[in-house]
Amino acid sequence: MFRNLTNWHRPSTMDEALSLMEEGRVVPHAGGTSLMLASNSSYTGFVDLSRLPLKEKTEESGGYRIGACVTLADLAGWQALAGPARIAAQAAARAGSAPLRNRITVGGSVARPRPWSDLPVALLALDASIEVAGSAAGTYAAAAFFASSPLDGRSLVTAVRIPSPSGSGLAEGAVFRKVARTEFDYSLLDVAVRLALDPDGIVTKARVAIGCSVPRARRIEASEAVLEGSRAGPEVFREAAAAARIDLIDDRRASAAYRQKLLEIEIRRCLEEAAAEGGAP
Amino acid sequence: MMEINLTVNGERLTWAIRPDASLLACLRQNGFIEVKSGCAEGDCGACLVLLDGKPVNSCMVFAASAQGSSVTTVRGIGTQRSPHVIQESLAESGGVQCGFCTPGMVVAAFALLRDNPDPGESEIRRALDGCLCRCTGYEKIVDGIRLAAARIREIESAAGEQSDE
Repeated sequence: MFRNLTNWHRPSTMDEALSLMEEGRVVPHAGGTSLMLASNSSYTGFVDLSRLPLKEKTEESGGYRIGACVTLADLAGWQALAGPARIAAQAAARAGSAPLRNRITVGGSVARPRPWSDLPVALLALDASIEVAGSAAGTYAAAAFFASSPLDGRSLVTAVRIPSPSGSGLAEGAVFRKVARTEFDYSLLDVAVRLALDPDGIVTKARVAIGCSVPRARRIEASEAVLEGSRAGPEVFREAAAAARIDLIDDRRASAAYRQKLLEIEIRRCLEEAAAEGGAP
Repeated sequence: MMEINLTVNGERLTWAIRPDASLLACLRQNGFIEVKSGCAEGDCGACLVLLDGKPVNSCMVFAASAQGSSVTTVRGIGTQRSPHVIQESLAESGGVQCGFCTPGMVVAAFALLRDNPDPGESEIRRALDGCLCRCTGYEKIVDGIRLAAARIREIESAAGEQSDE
């Protein structure tokens, strides 16, 4: 409920949208799924973003740019995403349910990430960046953005950028995995990994990200450090998985101890699959 | 209060609404009670409607955001007097028990079969992933949708042959 909500704004330019937000207590509406479950008596207006040019998906020389109002259904079906970037589409395809994916947007998943959001995990593994307009205007690395959101009530997420593989001839593999009891249940654990391997099978870059068992999706630097510079293989993958020791959610869905076991197994498996995809010798 | 214009089942309407009202609440207040209110938080799918052709949980849609849109409820797909093949097939297959989830199931199935006339079982189940049947009668619902798909393909191929003549 929004007891004091009186205005529904439909700006047609970004400047107009941002100036409406200047008033404070006026918040952006993209798909509305997160707002609908919120309750806030201080909000006086919503800024409907549907008339702004935020629904574009473009392939650029450096990668992909996905507008903030692109829905998860739209992202899930985007065939242009190639290589490791495919995991962004896979994560979008597993989020929520089919009808919710027709409303949930990429921008909303980033601006108001929920513990159960699937997309941020994939974006972390892909070294995505988040474009913001308004008083906090800038392009933020996903890891920094999710660790501490720069959004200040007078800023808007406008797009997410996913870089393409370095093009240096390295083989890259990426895997996204969601572990949930049913297709539509909240995830117990999301894992996304990405490996770049040189021709000798040495890991030159590793990304290991998890979500849904932690309050906010995050990278696991300790696991990445084990991998980088090592030769890809079962021993190293086991060691990297064992290095993932962080505080995990302990609730009625699953205990922290269970999630820890799950985490180690799934990270190891994802690394094995990513290495196979990347053509590890 | 604010005004919005939209089309529901082909009828052009103007509603005076609160800006924070859900599409589900507005539909039901305006007589479209075939749209069921189950969980009202996007979990159960009883309130599914087509919004500009796409299935959405109407409980999770602010009515104000539907300005200028076209909404189709289950009654826009088929009625008791003139049921859609999906509705007939669900009834014949035993896919309707208490019936509370049926309006949402029919909307989800309609969107599926429009886009994919010959879905496999896993595709049917995925399309219904946002619809909960509290009688847990999923098997027969899937059977009913598969039957409907076969019948629609038959009708369309017969229509195709006729137009060839």
